[in-house]
Amino acid sequence: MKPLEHLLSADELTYHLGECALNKRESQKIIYNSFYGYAMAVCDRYTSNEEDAIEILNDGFLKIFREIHHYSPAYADVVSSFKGWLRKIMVYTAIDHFRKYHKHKMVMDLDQVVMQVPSVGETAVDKLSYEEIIRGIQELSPAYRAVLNLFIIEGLSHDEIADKLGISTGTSKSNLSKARRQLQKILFKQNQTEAAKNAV
Amino acid sequence: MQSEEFDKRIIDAAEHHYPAYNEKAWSKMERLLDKHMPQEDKNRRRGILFLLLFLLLSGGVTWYFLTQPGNDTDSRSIVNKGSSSDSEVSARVSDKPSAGSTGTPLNGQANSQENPTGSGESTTSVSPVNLNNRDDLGSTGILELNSKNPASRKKSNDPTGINSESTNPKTSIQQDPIVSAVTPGISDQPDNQIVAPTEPKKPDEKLLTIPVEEKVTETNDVKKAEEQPLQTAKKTYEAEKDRAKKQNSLSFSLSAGPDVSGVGYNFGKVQPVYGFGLGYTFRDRFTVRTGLYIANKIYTASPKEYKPDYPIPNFNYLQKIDADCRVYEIPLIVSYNFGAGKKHNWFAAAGLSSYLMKKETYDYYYKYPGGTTYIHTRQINNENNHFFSGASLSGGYTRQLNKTFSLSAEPYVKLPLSGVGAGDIRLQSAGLLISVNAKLTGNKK
Repeated sequence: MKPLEHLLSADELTYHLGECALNKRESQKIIYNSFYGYAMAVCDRYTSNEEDAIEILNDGFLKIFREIHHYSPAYADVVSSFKGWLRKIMVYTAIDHFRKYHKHKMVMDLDQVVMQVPSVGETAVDKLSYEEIIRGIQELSPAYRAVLNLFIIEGLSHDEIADKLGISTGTSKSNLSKARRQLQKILFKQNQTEAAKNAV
Repeated sequence: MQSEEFDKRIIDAAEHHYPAYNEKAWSKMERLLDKHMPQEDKNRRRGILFLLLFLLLSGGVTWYFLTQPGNDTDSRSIVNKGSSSDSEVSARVSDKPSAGSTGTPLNGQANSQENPTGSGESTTSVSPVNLNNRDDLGSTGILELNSKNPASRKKSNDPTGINSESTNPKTSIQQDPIVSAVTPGISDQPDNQIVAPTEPKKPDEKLLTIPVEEKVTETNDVKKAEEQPLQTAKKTYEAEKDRAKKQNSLSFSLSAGPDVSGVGYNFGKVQPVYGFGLGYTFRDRFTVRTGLYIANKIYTASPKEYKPDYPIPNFNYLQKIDADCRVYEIPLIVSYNFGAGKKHNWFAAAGLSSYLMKKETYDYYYKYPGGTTYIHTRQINNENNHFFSGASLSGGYTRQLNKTFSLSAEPYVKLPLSGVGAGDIRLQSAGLLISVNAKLTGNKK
């Protein structure tokens, strides 16, 4: 299904953004529905369940509607510019959510590895669908999930991650390494499960 | 290498992830918005504005009628006139000669005692004297005869027989025609001598007679004299009132003309303005006017001048805003008519205007780094109403065509008291209004 945000033209988006600045509910709903998929795709990578993801999403949109009068596009493409701003807001909201609920879980001992499994080969990961990978990310522990998302997907440096999460650079690096390993294991387990199902 | 491939896979997965829409999500979002960003109740605000406007108009009308010149002065003038008339009447009463005040002898020349009303009534008759009752005559033997009553005697030391009491007209009813029956011969002569009585002299009717009806009429005349100035005053007052009413008039007008609007010194295209008006003229001097005038206000505003209640997106790259607004204007104007003559009249006017923004179309001109330009158009319908947000100054000339119709030309300037439209623009306008006026009520000179 075509993402809804592509249904809004640049003119329509500009118009509705202006109306949102006037706190018009109709325009707020149109913007919300148009960018729901895009924003949700960001949010649900930082949580393990849909409810938390919706909470992060709605908190993010609330920030957007509050600050919309301060927004000005960085470049001519209004839609892409707005999506970039939206994404940033959602990421920061997810981080705030993480810091509020999972800060104490930032550091995990190396000994606390869930299971000892052989490393997963390329071919196994290739066979996994995008949804399965996302599900795997969702199953990570909060600390690993946050660092993995910020480093790999959002492209932040370890210094930036350390600053955002209130941790040291070393902890960020350590958590990333562990996050990769844990994700691989989760994906392997999923692969094994799928293979077993197919065999049946 | 492996990790790089792994990372790439993760990135691809994130880019191709499209979660399904959850309809409950918007409900939660709406509750959040209602809690943190509640919407204003515009209807309530409009209601409050209309209530204030109604109170203002009611207060103005009440104040006007209370400060109108009332009946007090007129009634005072009536009272004054009445009092002067009273003094006149009393003067007349005091000037009127009374029956006995002149001391004129009975047989002498008498001042004619004319009836004040000119009726000349005389109702006196004289009864014959009965000399057998000489004892009643007393020393002077004055016998008073009443025209209506039997002869009654009144002793008096007054040889002339004129009783001072008879000077009062009001008591003159009892003052009867006096017939002196004094005969010098009777007292001087012995009793055994009888002197033929002389014929009693007929009293001078004009001198002595004071008709009863005349006296009653005098009182009525006094009353009438008192009432006449009052009636005159009342008539004068009524006439003045009618004249004043005729000087008040109601009129209807149809108007059209050119109008130009702008912000600061930057004016836009000339557009037509048209509409109708109602006016009420007081004493041919002051006119209160209102109406409905429609115009398209076309102007250009710079980003500095465009001040909405929200900062618009892409504001940093905004170059200018072209506006085309269809505006309904409701003026409330008071004009003073210099009244040069019957056929022509010069007037000056001032007032306030309210603007109803029926349709606002804004073109936002953007220019981005790199030279890219972009125009965004926005349209707003029936969103903004601004009451008494403009001050109107005008002057003009009216030419009477006939008893009912007149033609007027009125150049005007409208200055902003507050911002209007979505951009809160301090809009000013100028133009010329040509009107055909029809007098609906009042004196059609």
